[in-house]
Amino acid sequence: MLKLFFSLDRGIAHIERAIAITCLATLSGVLIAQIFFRYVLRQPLFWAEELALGLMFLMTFIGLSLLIHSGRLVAITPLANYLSPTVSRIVNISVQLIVVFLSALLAYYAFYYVSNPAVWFERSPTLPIPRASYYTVFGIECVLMSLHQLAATLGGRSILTIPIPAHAEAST
Amino acid sequence: MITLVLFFILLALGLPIIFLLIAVSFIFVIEVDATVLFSSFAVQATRGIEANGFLAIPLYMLVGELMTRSGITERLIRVADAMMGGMRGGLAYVNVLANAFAAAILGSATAQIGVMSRSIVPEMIKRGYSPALATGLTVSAGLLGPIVPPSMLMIIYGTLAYQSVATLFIAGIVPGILITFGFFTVVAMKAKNLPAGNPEETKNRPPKAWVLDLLPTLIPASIVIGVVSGAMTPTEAGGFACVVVLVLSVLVYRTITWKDVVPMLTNVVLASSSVIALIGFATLFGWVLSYEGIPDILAQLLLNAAVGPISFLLLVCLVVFVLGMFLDGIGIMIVIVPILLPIAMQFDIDPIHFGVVIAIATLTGLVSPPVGPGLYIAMEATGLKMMTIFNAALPFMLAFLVCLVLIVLMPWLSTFLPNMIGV
Repeated sequence: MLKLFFSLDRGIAHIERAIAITCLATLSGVLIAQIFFRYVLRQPLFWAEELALGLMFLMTFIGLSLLIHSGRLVAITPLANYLSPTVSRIVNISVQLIVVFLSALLAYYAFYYVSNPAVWFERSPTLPIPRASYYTVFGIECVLMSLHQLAATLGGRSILTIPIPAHAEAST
Repeated sequence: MITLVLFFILLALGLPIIFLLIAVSFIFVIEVDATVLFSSFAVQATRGIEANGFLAIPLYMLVGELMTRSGITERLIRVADAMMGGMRGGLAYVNVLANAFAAAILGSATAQIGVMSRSIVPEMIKRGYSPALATGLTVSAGLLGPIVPPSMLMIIYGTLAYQSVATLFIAGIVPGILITFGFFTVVAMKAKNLPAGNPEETKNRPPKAWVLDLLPTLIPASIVIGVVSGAMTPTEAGGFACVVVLVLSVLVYRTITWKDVVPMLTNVVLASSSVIALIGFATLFGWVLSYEGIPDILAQLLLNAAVGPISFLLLVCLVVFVLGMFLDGIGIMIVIVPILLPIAMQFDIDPIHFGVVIAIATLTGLVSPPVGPGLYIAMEATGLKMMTIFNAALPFMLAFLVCLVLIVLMPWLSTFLPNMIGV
């Protein structure tokens, strides 16, 4: 049963990765095409930035879910060197369960918000996409974050003890 | 109060920064009994990232990733080595100069510290430099990343404060040069204890090698010229830079192949997501705080404590430094810029100058224990202890702080170049 759960976790991550990469490639392509259309053809794509924003939104929350799956979230562990292995393991599992809980809580409130039919009337200015679909995606990704973190915890991966990985986790 | 205590407990336990912001938002709402806000959490977290300016982030990250995979770091180090490698302590100067060059491409301090810790530090150790000095210098010089244009922090500040990113890019140039010379000064003071340079290696470089190694300067040049001339927005300039980098790495250097595409895009997805999601959840946290008027209380405190623009800016630097010891620089910026910018305007502080000061001040936290993400990255890369790196970085950080104070005292350092160019 647990094996099936881990396979499901990996399978979902594969799909997420494919979608996120497609979003990034399309986002970059649209913005580069925008330059060509604006400056060469003198016909700006009025919908380009809004589409790119939507793709960036999708990429960001899928990416956050993938960060959890791959254990590359930015976490600082100042106490790690001072705890015994047993206490360290307990702390690690507790922290992971907090992530599971918070993700599930965010998902719950996102779905609670979009359950109001009035929310679906608001649409984006240039593309006929209901804004509530963004919040729905947010909710779905929070569920998947929760799932990835649970799989990592059950699989004994101490994914949150990694401080900041190489150059990829660029923030400031 | 409960929120603050739990914040430190969760931080010490190692809760990831993004989830720390989510956790304290929930805890604070429960503490002030405003649970009605919960249903809007998704809206606030997503609205925080829906600014067109943030579209530049994945594009600049893509540029940085492409350049890193094209071996740009090594080229930059070679150019810097050819220019300064012959002097005593030459590789220490090269470290600073290569970081200044890389800053014009990467735009992020953590990215730069990660890349440079793995490239120039081993070379310095090989040539007889102490591992602590090599790492401490690299961590400090990596802070140039978000100051020299193009800079991710400037893009975020510009978007938050409704200021021209082009002006902010230009405003960062003189402070960037000042800090570079600050680091050079510290290296010069230590030079007599540093290994001799290797002038032979820098002689007889064929012109073709110079041209190939200098070609990457087209990237920051295309971004800065494109943005400053008004021909492109920062986002469009990022897109254009992607095209330039692709041409260079695929057609000129031939270092990127099809099999690199998926890992490269995956890295950019993860790196961009961590930054953009942080912006979203920091916005949520700021919104939750504003519900109870915390920003106004903080603003009033600062307003009462400051007697003029200089003391206000110094106080802001102090607040940012203290916050930076526990929180990410971007998170700090998202939370405090909306609070402090209006006060800065009351003190007649130029918003561009304010942005430069805030951007530089947030960097101090990267190299300050107990959190100091820059120190953690260098620890991972070199295996040294945090305090060993911090002690070695201290003289350079003092130079950095002196430069920050100079910039606070002399606002023209950040404003005269934009005024002269007329952006």
